[in-house]
Amino acid sequence: MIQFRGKYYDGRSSASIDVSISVDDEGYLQIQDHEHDRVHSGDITVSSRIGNTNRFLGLPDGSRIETAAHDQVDELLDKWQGGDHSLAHRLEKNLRAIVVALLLLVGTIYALINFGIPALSENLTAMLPTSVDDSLGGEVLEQLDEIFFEPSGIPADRQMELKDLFASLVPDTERNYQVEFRSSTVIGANALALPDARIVFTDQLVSLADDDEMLAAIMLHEIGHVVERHAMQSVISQAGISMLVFVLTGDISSASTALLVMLPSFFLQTRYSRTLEWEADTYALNEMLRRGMDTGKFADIMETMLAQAEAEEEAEQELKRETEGEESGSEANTERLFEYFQSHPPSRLRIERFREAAN
Amino acid sequence: MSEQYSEPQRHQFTFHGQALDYFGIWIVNLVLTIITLGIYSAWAKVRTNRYFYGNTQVAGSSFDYTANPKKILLGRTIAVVMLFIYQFLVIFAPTAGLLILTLFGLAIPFVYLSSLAFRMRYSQWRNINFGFQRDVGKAYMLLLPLVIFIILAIAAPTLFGITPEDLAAADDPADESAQISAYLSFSGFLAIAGLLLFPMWQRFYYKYIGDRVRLGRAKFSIDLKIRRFYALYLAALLIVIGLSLLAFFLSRALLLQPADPALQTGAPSVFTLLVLYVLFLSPYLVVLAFIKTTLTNLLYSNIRMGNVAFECDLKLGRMIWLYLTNTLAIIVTLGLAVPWSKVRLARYRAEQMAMITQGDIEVLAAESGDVSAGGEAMTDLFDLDIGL
Repeated sequence: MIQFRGKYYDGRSSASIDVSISVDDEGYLQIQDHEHDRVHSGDITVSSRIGNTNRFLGLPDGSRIETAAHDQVDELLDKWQGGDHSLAHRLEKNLRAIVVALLLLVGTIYALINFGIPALSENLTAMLPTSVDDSLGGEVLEQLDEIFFEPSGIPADRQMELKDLFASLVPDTERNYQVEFRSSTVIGANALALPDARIVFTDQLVSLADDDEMLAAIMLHEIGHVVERHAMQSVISQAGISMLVFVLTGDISSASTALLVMLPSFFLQTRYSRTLEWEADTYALNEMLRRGMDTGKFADIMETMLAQAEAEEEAEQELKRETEGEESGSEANTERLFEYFQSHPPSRLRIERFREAAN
Repeated sequence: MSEQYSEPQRHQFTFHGQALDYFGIWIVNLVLTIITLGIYSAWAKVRTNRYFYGNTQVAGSSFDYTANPKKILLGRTIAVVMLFIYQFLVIFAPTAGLLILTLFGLAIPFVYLSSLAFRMRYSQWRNINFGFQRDVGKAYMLLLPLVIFIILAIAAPTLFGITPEDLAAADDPADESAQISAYLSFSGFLAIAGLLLFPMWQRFYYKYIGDRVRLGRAKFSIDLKIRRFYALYLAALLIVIGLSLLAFFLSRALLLQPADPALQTGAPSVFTLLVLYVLFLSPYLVVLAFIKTTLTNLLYSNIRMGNVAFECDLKLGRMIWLYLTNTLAIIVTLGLAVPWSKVRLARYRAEQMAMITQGDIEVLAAESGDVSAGGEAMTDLFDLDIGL
């Protein structure tokens, strides 16, 4: 005999009646002091357990009983409904399961970030025709011209020279490889590979190079980006990251979750960039070795870029120290920490790789 | 059986959830959702709602959420399929894609309404279902202006021919500046019109919703004065201006202008950027908290159901503190504090809310003819609860 108390709602009005309920040994349910049709425990619906919330028993005539008597309800379920079918609740209550779940979660996210998303980006890109890359790159240069670029100051015949050099390095494919020159004080010495196989060199980079072999090395690196279709991959991996973060944070109903969404996306994207830079380096390295070029030249120009970046940083720090005093010291350390998350300037590792190949 | 009390009775809402309890539910939801590539999300939503509803009580009875996860899954699957179709079309057939987007835009009021009706239909208290009396015509009159406003704001550059492409292609500079000034005046006009009309629009929106909520056969009604909305947004404007000025002066102190222009490398350190980001965001977070708190108090204090009234008195200071500490906790714990912050918020909201009744609460269930078995299946398909 199972006995418990609850509140009875007949479903026709909002009246709430405190009742005693008993279930006899054959499973027939009886509500005391209340007339109702004969009902068997096997025919009632019992809401699955969720946390410690009250259970709702639904009778066939549409009425419901709300009760906090979890033990008795569980006993009823065991005897007349084959036990509690709620796997979810058992998982939620089980501390060990929760710890396992946490580890599983972290593991899955780790795997997705390090293998899943990159693999997806690569495979998806391989399935798409290069015309998609071309349409992606369509307006990018025009928009960059609006914001970052000024017309190049390099004389026309020198530009022709460099264009001929570029043409000699281009692989034999159907893509329409072009090289463009621009001046940019904001971006400084740099080169960009656009998805439609156009590559932009800044005047500042051209002037940094001691000789044309250095520029050839960089051209090969940028061509590598295009050959491997890195821009396309970036677009897909970015979408992948967004989706992952969206699934993780579920209903983005608060500003704090929105904030949390943006930070990992930012860090992850720069992390992927580093992999792509390494890949472009690999292409350049192999091409240079194949053509009998001096890979040390690439190491040289990267060193120059690194030295200049460090010099600029030193000047900034110097200025801050003069105007602010010693508080800027810790900020310098934070900056070094944040450099981990930046895809430029070139790392020691990349420079070493090209140095070693030259020997 | 029912006694008549001469004095009104005050029933405090209570929330019994615990962070630790909910954490287990939350994490299992998360893991199963990821493993099933999102399919479990429908069950996760039902379990979450059941947890929060079930832990909220008033006058001795809990709320319950009775939606069938399978229906929610169906709704979500439809939404995802539509999204894929749209993405596909955008790449390979842009004009068709634009058409679909417009259709989606026009359907938003209907979908939103359906979502609301679904949620109401499957919420219940003391075995009486809530409901929402849809009036699709009026909903469109209400929501379509908003959709059109947004479309105008987004499409304005194209309409005035000042997208980057158009500007690059333009030959006559006089033409260009005429177009730009036309666009600027239009945008200015749109912004001002929007700011002036929004409080009024919002009042009509909440009145539309509030007057159509049902509990069984009982109708809710809401009494909203337009001037309260204008007062709210005026105060919000003043707050955001004041705080923004403060943030501006603080950020100037942080960002030093190098004395020598030649050394200006252009990019401040990442750390400074982060601090600036937080500084400029805070006025908006504070003002959002202000708006949300004031609105919630306004709405719940003025809604009635027959002779049942409600009280809602959230304190702004406490809400800002809650939002702030929640945000910090979530960032520091990389998201693990989400369940804790949700429970905290729910508890405070319940604590500050009460129901005032005259005598027993007598609500009759909706007539049995309202919901026929077959008809329910049909309308449920359109009552998509897609997580709005």
